[in-house]
Amino acid sequence: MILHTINKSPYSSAIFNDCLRLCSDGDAILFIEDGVYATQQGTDSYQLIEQHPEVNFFALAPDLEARGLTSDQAKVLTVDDNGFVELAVKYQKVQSWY
Amino acid sequence: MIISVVILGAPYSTQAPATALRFAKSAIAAGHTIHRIFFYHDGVNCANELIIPAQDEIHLPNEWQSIAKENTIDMVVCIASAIKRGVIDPTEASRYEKPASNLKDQFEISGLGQLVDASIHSDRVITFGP
Repeated sequence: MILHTINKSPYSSAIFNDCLRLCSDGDAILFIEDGVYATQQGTDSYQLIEQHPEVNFFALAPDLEARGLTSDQAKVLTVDDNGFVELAVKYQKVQSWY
Repeated sequence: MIISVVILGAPYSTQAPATALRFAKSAIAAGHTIHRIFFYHDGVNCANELIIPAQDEIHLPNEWQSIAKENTIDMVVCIASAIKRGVIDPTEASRYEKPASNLKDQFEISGLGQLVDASIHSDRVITFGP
């Protein structure tokens, strides 16, 4: 199982779509930096998150906070930097999308 | 676990070196070993001793220097990426007949082989893109 990190906003890059196309069941996607904009409810990217229950979604808390955002804990779990390390250890590989 | 980190983004114009720094600090605090930090593409600018950020901003080159010193982390700067961006050590300065060098202490200029070596010797390699 792979941990994918996404660091670009869905409004400036198509990597979230590209990444989802290659995701396998049980993979995780961690939104970091401007990637956290994908976690906002009522957006096209949030709809994509809802359409992929087979993928585990996470968002990096310091990056959400830096942008004045919060994430809905139901579909996207918030993790701090320690949680990022734990995810990197838990999943066998880390694939960065940028 | 043994972890290596690759940084591709420039300090101050991308978040990559800052995110990677937070990740490395958390990994060390959790008891993991950071084997190597590989600075590649615009990431090599982290090794520029001449960078002077505003006083109320994080000094990324200094932060990397101290974390490497305190935890004996190998910090490698890709030679091809570095010299074309004007990040050079005294050896390269003399090779290319330049009047000065600017590679920061704790950083070492080397080749891509060090990235291959890091992926062989680490359980995880995490890339921080631009």
